Amino acid sequence: METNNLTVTYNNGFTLHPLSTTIAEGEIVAVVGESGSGKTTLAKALLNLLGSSAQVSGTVKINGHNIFQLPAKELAKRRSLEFAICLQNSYELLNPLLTVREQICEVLRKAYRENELGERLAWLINQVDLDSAVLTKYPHQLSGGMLQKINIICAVALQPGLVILDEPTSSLDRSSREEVLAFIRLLNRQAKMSFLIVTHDLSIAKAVSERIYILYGGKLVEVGLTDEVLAKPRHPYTMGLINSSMEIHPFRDIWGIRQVEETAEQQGCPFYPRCTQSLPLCATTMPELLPYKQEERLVACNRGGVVTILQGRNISKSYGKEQIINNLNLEIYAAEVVSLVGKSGIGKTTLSQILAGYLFYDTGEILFDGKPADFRKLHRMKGGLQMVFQDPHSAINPHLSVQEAVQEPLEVIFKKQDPTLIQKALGDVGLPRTITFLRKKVKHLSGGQKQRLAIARALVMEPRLLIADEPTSMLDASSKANMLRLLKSLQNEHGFSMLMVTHDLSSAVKISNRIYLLENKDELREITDTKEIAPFFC
Amino acid sequence: MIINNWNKTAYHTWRKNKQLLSRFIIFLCSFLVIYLFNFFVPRLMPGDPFAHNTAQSGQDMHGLSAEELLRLKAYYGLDKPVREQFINTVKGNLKLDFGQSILYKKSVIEVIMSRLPWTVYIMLSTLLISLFMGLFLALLGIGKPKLDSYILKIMSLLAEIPAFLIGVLLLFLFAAKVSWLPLAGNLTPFYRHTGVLEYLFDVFRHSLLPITALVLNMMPNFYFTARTSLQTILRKEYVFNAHAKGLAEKIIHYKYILLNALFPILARFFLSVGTCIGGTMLIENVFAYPGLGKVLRDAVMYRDYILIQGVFLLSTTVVLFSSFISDVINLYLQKDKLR
Repeated sequence: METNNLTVTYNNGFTLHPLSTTIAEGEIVAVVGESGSGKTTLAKALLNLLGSSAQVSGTVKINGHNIFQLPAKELAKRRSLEFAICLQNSYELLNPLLTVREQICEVLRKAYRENELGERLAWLINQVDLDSAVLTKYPHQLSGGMLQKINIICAVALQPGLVILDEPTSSLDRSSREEVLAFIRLLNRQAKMSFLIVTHDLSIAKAVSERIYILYGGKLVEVGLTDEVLAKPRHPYTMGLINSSMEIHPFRDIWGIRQVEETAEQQGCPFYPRCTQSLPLCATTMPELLPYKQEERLVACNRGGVVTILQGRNISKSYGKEQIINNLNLEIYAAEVVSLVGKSGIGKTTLSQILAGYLFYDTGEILFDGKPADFRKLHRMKGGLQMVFQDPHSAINPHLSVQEAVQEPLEVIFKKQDPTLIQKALGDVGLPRTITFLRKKVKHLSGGQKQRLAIARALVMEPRLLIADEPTSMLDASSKANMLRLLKSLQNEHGFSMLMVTHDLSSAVKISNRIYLLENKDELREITDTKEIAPFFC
Repeated sequence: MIINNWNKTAYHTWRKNKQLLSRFIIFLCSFLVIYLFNFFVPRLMPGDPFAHNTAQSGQDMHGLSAEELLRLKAYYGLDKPVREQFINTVKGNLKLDFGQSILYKKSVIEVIMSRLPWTVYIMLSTLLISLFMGLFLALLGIGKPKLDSYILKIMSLLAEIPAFLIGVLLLFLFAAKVSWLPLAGNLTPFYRHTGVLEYLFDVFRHSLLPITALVLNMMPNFYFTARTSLQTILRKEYVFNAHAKGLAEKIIHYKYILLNALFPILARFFLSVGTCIGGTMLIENVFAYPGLGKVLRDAVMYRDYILIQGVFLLSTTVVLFSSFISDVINLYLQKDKLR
């Protein structure tokens, strides 16, 4: 199948942006996106099923024929034989007055003689592990999962070259899902059938598809090989989607992509309001789907994909003759939480302070947003870099009042007083906003409150990167849990990146997107497999 | 909910049976209430058959003497207390004896049986023609919004005109003005038909106007039901899915659309029996067609309680029974919604 500039405009305003793709023979492609992203529209448009409710332009060629130009009769003839679709499951997909057998046979009769039907039917039913008793039943007598299997059978019955499956496993339990996916793989291998699987479930895409298309707001935002895209997403939306998937991250504390109310009509990038790395340009300019660097990957982003906020290259540091860290590399992308874990005294704090610009390094290079980091400026600007230190008791001048502590950075840097900003910063970190509290001296606060205050101080600067050194080590279990969730929720809402330095592996696993393990002074490596961390818990 | 499939089916069968039973009980209760009304209402009406016979009709100039009156009342059982009359009526009815008509001097069953075929003929033809024409017009409008809106407007207009008015109009146009068709009656009077075909043609000629008048009145109902039903089905996902599967148009039209749309239309058919009985009785009077309607009118004029009771009982039973069937159809209609 080959699609060229397929565009769909609904009468109610929803648009599917121009889209060009190919699906080769025997390939399985997944289209992933959240609800309302246009997945079903795409699936229907590809097989010319939208009718008069939408205007469709562009071409879709299947086996060389443009299906928008085929006469209706010819098109109907080819359906089920050359291409088929299994619509999103519902109780109303099958005729309530015909038995299941009758409805599968209707399709089979297009290619099989009457005496061959029984054998074929039995084979199909057997493949998805249905009992032959269902054949004599009416649709209302069956469960949602059974109906879904029957719909899939109808779509693949004649082994068409291309089958589009819209949410094929939405009402199936785990074992039925495995059976159906195995059946799809079997058909793909044996009959060289191509599949386009439309789903919101990344784990299905991961299980069967070779290539993946990520759709957002009717636009393809990322295209690539499934394994690569899932391992290294290059579009902020894909990244958010993967981070929201419980199937992929079973142990992590899951946070969805931030929801933003859309206030104005969207002109530019559809992801603009929710994006954490957007530029003013993104509001007005629609990004094009372009190759990403040298990889076999297409990304539609005005910033060329996920931005690397901080990059450390070959960083070394020694005190006198003692080499503390040697030749370490790390990267932090936009809007992610990265944890730096390792044993005490291995050099985590040294590394974090170098990255935050509070310690000089001997050799190496630190890039902030692609440019060599000018820490003097970064510490003193909005959208720069801020750090929260390990010990909250010594981080803030104890004789300042709460109000002064939060106001200090604003005054020093912007020379302005803005009580609303202070109120907001305190509210964000869950501290009281009463006058008595604002007048309280910092030395009278508890450890947890001081830590929150330190975070509030950092957040009034709206940093793009927050480096937190052991933010929870001084706190009791409940305060720690609250603090971690607070940090993660602030990160999710404001969209900054965070580097959390900790020796506490369990909290790192909970909230971080990636984990760096500092094993010794020369080795800093990323832990990609949760199995690798498992021994630490046992 | 974790109900396995077998239990689910059993549960639905049980639920359906329960609903069926409750419909049947409603049917029985309505029948009883109507039966009571049927007995008491004529007796509560002012006047009585004998007084009318002698005074108002002007046929019998001699008044009945008190003795004669008593004898007549005793003969028809009207001298007994109401309670006893009621019990006797019930007893008789159970033996299919509906008493003697005072007006026709024949048993009620005999009167009804001699007239019933004509009424049934008019009613059934009306219902069937209306059903097919309504369905046909609804099918005509599918996929042609402009034609559909025209048909809809005409039908809405037509539905508002009562049948007897249409009847009078037709009578005026076709029978009085151009005399293509006979004015009244069911057969040409005193004519000796030479063959069955000629007889049937005569029947057809006479019934054409009353049936047309009724059809014009009934058809819009069927059209509306058919149109709504078809449009609902057309929007169903299984119809869309059938297109997506590339099934033949013929299969989609008959097995998917028409088959599913038929239930509400059938239900409408049985529901319309009631309206149709009323319409037929009125139209029979307009065209002087010798069916039950004319009998009922005469019976009411002469306060022939016993005949009124008989005709009422018959017509209400038919209406009730057809509503019951309509209910049952609706119950089956719900089966794809019962989950």
